[in-house]
Amino acid sequence: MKKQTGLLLFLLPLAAAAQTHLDVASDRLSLRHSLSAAVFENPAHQPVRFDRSFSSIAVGYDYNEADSHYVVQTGKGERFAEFDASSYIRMGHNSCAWGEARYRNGAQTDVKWNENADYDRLFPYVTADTLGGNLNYESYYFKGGYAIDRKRLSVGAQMAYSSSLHYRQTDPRPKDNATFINASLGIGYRLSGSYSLGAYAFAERYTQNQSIEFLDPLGSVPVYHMTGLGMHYVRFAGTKTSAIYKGRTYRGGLTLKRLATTGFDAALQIENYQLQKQLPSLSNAPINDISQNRYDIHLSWQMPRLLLGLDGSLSRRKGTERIYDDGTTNWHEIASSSPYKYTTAQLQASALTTLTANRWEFELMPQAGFVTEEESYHPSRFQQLRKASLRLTAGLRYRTGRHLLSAQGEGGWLHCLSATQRIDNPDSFTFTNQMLRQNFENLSADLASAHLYLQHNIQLRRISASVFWRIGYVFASTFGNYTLHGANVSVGLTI
Amino acid sequence: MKKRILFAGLLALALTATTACSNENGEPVKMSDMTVSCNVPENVTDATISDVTITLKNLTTGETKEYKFPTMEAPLSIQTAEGLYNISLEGSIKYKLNEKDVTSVIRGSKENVKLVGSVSISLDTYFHTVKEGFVIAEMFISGTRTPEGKSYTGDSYFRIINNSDQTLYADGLCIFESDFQTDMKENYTPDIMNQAMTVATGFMIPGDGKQYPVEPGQSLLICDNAINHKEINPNSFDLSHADFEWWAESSNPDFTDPDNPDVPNLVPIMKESATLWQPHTRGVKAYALAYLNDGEKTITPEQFTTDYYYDYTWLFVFEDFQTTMEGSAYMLPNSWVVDAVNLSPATGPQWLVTDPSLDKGYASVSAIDFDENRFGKCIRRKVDAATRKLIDTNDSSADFESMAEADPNHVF
Repeated sequence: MKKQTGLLLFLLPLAAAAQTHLDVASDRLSLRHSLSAAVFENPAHQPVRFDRSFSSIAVGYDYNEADSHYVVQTGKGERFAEFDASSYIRMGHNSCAWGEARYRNGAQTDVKWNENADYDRLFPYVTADTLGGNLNYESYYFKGGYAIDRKRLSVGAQMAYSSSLHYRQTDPRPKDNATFINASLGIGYRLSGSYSLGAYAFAERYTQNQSIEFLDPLGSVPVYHMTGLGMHYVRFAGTKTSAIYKGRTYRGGLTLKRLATTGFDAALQIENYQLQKQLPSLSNAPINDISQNRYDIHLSWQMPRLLLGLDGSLSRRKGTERIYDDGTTNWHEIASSSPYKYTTAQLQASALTTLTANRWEFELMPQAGFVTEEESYHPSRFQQLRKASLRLTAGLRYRTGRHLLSAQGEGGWLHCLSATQRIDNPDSFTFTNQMLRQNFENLSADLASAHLYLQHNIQLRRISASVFWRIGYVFASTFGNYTLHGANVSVGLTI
Repeated sequence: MKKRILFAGLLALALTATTACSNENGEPVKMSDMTVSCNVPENVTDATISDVTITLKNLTTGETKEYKFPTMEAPLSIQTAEGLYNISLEGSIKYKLNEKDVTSVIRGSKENVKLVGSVSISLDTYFHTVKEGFVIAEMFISGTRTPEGKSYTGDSYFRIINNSDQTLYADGLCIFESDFQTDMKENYTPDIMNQAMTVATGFMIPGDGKQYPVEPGQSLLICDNAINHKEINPNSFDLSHADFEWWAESSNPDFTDPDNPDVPNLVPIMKESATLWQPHTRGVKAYALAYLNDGEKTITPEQFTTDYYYDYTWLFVFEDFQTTMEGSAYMLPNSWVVDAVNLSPATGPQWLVTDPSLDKGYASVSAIDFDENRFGKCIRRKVDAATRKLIDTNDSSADFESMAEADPNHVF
């Protein structure tokens, strides 16, 4: 009897510890963390993000491939192997540290009209040719931060660094070295026991060095410096195969973080992004500039069993072309024009409800949104799209003994309300007409998507950790010219 | 178990967020106000110009726009986006020649013109005529590749055709290669282009004046080495039947020029190289057919190399470094030139190295500079379907087919 009692007393803490770690793992899989992510752009709020420390190491493989391009410049699909380690460590009651390290080795398949990495940063000023192909890449990413909460004031800081190499080993052979380094600093002030008001600043520097080589003895093709909606910088087309991109981002925001289990979260963020494209063969003369302003707002209301969220963003990108003289005595800028504009606005509302019963936890999150995009190259080209989106995500987690089983499914429908494309001068550069047509056809079609995953965590004996495996499947289709299938698998350790 | 699912006015919120972010127009483009006037050809009096077309080619965007005006009694005003342009003019001119009313076509052009703010442009014009006489019909200068992929040279050739209706004599007809390159623009001083073409290499067909008749439509094949190159490189040509070959004495015994004793040699006037001469294989120079004749008498090659030699300078600038460079070449007066063609990769020249009155365009043996596909490619003059004569409007962009498959036996 004594022995059994002793054994029970010995096992109880272990049982309690096992439940606690899987509880934490289960909590980290919850959808509510994705809804509240905007407020934690302010590093000063990190101490109230999670109650417990949690770390994860995983290796995985992801593969997706479509039967045609959705957007030609981003390729038909992607495959990559990844190592990812992330950690959130509570250091006492009032401070925390966090970090992430990630390595990815993969390839984007059949990328056309874009020989650059990071298309979303550089568009429309990418370098392109008529051939394209797969783009292999390796990338590293590191992030670390620390925050401390002292009485009424909290302070946090975070830095991140990334380096990547995109390349191809058949002609045309681009080699894109891209790096960014950023830092953010935030403060928070406890207004009451329920809310903390914060402010933060973020700065980032970005560079990409590009060169394109042709080694095929049969010859090469001209290289084009694109300027938007299929236009290119005619004067420098041909053999100017190197480019340097230099960019910087400044961002600032205000945050309101609830400290109780119910209440409001709010975030308002303003960002300014600048990028310049230079040609080394013109003594590093800049030929293009991007200037972008972006405004983001997030509101959420946490009730006992319901979380409501509203997210909106407005982004305006302007592209400038610099015009030079004949270059006899260096290159002197004589004029400039800003024919390119890209404006996008999005609004999305979400509602998340959570039901728990014994070992089950069920989450359901419907979302509805509206997005509009306008792109123009004045005065001859214009494109506008307006879409409404509906999405439903359901998550289920089941705990039994040392096992945690998780499943999540998401289905979405993106409906195009209106689409307009006007190309007044198709003869000016006929090579890109098909690309423009194809992109517009897909972007203006309705898109259905689905994403499923299963995860199984197994609590380890003796230590507060678990191993897990995870498989996922992704599907997207316009039920016309574009259908994508993908799968991902990963295994790892949580601690 | 309570269940409560609430949609918090999702769509209503979404639809009210239709933002007035319509921004179809870019920023207002800065415009330049240009006025264009022209100077009529020398010695023309009592002239009136009508049916004027001004063509502006924006070198940044490649866009070309035409502006038409009924007369040119006053400077013409055009507003266009600021930038760098090539400007050309074509119009009809009526003038008195020996008290007789004559109507002709005039042309004028200027390259690399900065249009920023208010700009006044004056164009010197020249008479444009469709000439008949000897013309460059086909030019092959890029070399060939062996089946093993190695570069092969020595098989360059020119085909010259009598484009007139009468028998002409080729005696004394010269081929010249320019000193300047269309892919390297410099501000050479003195700038003599409106009077003469700067040349570095020249060869002349020998003869006493009546030795080499050429019937209308008949061609001459003039080549580097008049041998059957196919015996060495199956991808080359049989030039053993050429009418002339250029042969030059080399200063280096290790690099001598083969000589076919059965094919007459051209008379060397001068050459840029101390050893052999081969036309620039990248296709970045200009070539001219000309006679050494100043209008009163024939100039000998020796006199030409003495009397028409000149020195020039240009400023070399690289970032903060600059220095004055020196060069020397020969002046070939524009009035001696029978036919001229600028060569440039199809992506476009930095400048033309002849006066527009000789050639206002360019032809190409390559799509881009250092194009590995240029081997075995030539430029070939187009044929007017109606007259069956070769087209010669002093505009190589229009007159020639670029990057054609070379064939010394092509039938025009």
